[in-house]
Amino acid sequence: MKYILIFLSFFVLASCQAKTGSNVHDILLVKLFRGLQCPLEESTASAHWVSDSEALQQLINSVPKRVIGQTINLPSFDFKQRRLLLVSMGQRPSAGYQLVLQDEKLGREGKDLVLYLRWKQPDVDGLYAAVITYPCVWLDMPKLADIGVRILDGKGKQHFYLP
Amino acid sequence: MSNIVTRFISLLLLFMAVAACGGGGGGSTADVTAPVISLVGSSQTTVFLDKTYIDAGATASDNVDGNITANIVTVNPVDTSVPGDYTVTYNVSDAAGNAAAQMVRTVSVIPDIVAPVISLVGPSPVSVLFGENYIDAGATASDNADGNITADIVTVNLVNTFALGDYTVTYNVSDAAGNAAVEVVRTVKVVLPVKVSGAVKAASGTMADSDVNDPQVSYASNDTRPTAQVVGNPVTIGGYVNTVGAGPSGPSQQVGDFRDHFKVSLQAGQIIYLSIADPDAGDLDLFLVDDVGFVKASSAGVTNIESLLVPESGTFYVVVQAYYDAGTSPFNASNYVLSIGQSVQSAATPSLDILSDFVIGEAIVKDRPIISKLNSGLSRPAISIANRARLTRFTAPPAHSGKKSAAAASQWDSRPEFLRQSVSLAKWRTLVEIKALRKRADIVYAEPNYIRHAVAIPNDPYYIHQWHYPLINLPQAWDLTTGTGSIVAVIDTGVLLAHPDLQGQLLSGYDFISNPANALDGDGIDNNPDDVGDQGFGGSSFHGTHVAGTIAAASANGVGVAGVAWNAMIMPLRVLGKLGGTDYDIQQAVLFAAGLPNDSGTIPAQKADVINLSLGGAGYSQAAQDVYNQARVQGVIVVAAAGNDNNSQLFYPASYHGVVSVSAVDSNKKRAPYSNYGSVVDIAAPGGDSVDANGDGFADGVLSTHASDASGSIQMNYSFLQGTSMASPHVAGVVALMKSVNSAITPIQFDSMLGAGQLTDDIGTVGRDDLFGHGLLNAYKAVIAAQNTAPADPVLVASPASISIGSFITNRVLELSNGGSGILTVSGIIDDAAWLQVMVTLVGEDGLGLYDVIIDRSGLADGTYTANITVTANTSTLVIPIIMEVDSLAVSADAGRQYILLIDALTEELKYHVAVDAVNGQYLYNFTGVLPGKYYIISGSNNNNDGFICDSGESCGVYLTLTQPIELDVQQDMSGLDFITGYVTNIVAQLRSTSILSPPYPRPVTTDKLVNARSRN
Repeated sequence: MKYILIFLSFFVLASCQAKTGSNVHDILLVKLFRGLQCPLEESTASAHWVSDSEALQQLINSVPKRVIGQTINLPSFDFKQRRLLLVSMGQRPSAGYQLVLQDEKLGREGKDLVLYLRWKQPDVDGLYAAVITYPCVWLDMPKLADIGVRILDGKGKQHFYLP
Repeated sequence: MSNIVTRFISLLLLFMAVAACGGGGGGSTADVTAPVISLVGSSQTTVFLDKTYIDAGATASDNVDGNITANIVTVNPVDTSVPGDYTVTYNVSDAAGNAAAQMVRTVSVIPDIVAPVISLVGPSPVSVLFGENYIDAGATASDNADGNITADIVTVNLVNTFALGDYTVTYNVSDAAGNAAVEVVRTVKVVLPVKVSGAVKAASGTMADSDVNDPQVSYASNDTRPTAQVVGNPVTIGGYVNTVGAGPSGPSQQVGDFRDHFKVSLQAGQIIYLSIADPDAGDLDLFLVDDVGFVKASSAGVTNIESLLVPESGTFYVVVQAYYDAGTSPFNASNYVLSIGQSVQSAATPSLDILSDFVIGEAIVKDRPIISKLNSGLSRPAISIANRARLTRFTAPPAHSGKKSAAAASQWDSRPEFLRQSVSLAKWRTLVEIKALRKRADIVYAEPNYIRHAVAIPNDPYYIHQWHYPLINLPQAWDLTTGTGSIVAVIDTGVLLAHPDLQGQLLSGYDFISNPANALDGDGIDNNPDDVGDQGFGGSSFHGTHVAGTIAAASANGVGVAGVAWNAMIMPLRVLGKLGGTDYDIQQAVLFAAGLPNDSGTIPAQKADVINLSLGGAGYSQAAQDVYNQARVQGVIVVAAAGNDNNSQLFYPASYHGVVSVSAVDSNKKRAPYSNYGSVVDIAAPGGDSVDANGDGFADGVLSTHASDASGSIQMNYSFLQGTSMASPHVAGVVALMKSVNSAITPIQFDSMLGAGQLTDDIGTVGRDDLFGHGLLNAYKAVIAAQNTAPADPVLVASPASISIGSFITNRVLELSNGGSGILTVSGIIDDAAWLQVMVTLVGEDGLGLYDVIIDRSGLADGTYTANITVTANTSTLVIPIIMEVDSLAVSADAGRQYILLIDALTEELKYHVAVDAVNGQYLYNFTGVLPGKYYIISGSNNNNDGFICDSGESCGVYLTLTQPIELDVQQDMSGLDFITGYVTNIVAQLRSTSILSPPYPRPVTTDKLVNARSRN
């Protein structure tokens, strides 16, 4: 829940930054959260929009809490102007997995926006903490009508398409 | 009916007719068989000339006439006045005229030519005191022909006891045939009496109960706290208590001496033992009472040993009480030995503690199986009742309301005052009932129905979410140890040194991440193991902090979470960074933890006992295997996570030889869905799951210390994580617990215990399996197993382990030895008190051997003093606590009135005795008028007045020692015959045998004999 608080604290900042990027060629991504222990555990990789605060609250409530000693206060977020994108690698067996934002700007292919995320895997010879992880990244971007987002990895492989 | 009668009569008449014909007709068989004669005695015998010959006769039997002995015709021609051989003949015939074959006996009449034999009664030579009557003991004589001819002995006694010298007494006798015996001579020495003297010394620290039952000893009641007997510490007290009418006659038999009070200054942790001399005759209990009469500890069993642990330091009253209950046990009396502050091992005797928490009115009882033979012809006995314990509920005691019921209650209430204010009547009655059950022959055992709860449950607020600790029986293990003295190296992402729940738990560590880009702290290796995060910005794992918290978070401090071994110390070693970790960096950390040379250029002040590696990867490294081998040689147990890939592929370092591989289970003891498995898995431990099966509102991960840096700064918190990373520190923590109770456990021994199932509960397939290895970790079993494992490495052992010197003794021998094997060298011995000095007595080059601990009380005020002797060896450091008292008013040792006896070494008869009271710790004795001879000297008390000294529970001593009695050849005055009297205080030995005196010691001697002996002095 700590993570929730932290990432929500970025909402205001994210909103300010997004206002300056109305041109799709210059859309900056705002990384709200990136880490190994995603607040929303999902067993498999996923990507989806969070449409509103109620949906966000439902997501938060849908999984058992994993951090104690904190309360969650959701600040107001302008879901009419902003879009919240959650991308998760799903459950992973070690700390050797990460989602790394390769470009802080959204790309454009045809009518779609392109998000470049590196799907980092453990090195073959590396040694990592043997903890179950849920690597994820939460991104904030402006809401643009009728534009989908393709999520590609570093090799150009598309993992998700969100209309 | 008439037909049946008619037929019967017809048959009877027919039978009679046939019988008549057979009896008188020529058709019957005639008796043609001769009778048989048998000689009584031999067919050849001798008789001495002129002695009467009485023939032994013969018997005769016939086939028709039966016994016809009376018809035998005997012809006896023997004439004993004429030597020669004679024949005695025997003949007989039966009624039919058949003659038996004649029998004969040859009797030889011979002359007696054998002389009789004389035997002395009593010894020769024998001594008699000058001027005393000499009463000769005489002799006996026997002859082959005449038998006992003692009366015919002719004795010539020329002894003159008024003239010193050697005399002879001669004995002669002849038989009727004139054969003379060989003369026998006794030498009688008329001598002057001699003196035998010496001092019987009361054993150091020995005291005597001031109100024993011996009427010849001054009586000072110590029945109450105000009249308590003041004793030192340490002390061994011999005493006696009895209920009214119980035990031998004496001052306390009629009025009772229910309890003895001893006032003593005690140190917390000291053990008090009560050895009951005769548990069959006396059920004695032990209590520790404070100065306002509240019971602080108790031991109220029914066996021969009661023991209790002093809960806190202070002045207390140790109470020995003869148990009394009007209904179930009115008569109890026994000698006892009370030992306070002895350096003895736990007697491990089950007892009843009235202060313990048990269900009132209930007991768990096991009946003795009744063995009976069934009527079915089975040769084997059958056990007729179920062989399992049962729960018994007692009748409730009467209420206290109302005059009538109060009177009734008094019959139920046998509590003394200090128990009335410490224990409820209902609880006391439960104890009474259990004691009664324990004495029944048909009961195997009867125990309180204890209310179990771990006394060491920590008060950390989030402990309630740490389901993973009860799962492995940690609370039970915490009752035994919390890991004090153990060090666990956490080789991980480092540890957040500032985490509030790790304060005081961390030793100096090291950062072995050699690549600055991986370290994220601006440099390569350094001496700061603080975790700066492994992600650069936000989302760092702080994995090492979580692992460290599981092992040894600060606990029972009202903050955060608890750790497995919260009194162990964490050695944080950082190897995992942004890019994970490398084999090389990890190897350096392992070497450092094991106290081996490494890239840091330093080694820790004390190597780790355990290394936890909650990390891993797929690649095998021979170099890494070598390093783990080295750590193992150093005695370090290495524990690692089995991996979270849900497969059986080898995962290193867990799969290296000599590394304990830990798989994970969830809160239901099922294999966690992610956990690796396979042939290398050694053990399973809680790793958690992401669901909330226990409904506490949190994921069922492992809860521990953690943090988040998502906000840009590190915020400390507590979180639930899952993985074999979380399982491994449970094992590492339990190893720390094991090491704290037995620091000598080696990796090999650990493996052996693991393989023997001593550390786990076998879950899954019976025996070892690939999912759980040898089973689910059981912390309690592991600690018990560690306690019971003999050391194999060098172990510095001090005997005694602690020294309690009391107020008299000025020195004590201290022995340092190697309790294990291998090289052990003492490098230093220091003490921390001016009044204390340790001197070398006899030691080897390794510093092991005997030392003299010397106490100098000069200039010290009265009081109790404590100090420590610290012994440093190559393997460990040992602290030996010392307790010493200065008491200017203290009295000397006293083993009670001593009856000192001279026992004839040949006849074991009491010859002389004196009764002596202690003066300055010793009993001076002086026997005069002693007839020279061979003697034992024995001394002892007679606390119960049963007529015997040296009973169990009474002081006893023998010259030279109890274990080496000496037969003294007293032919002239002997002095300086000093020896020790005291109580046997080897509690463990007494558990095996309650008898103090057993062969080869002389038997106890009755005071009836003492009285007789006294009249002679």
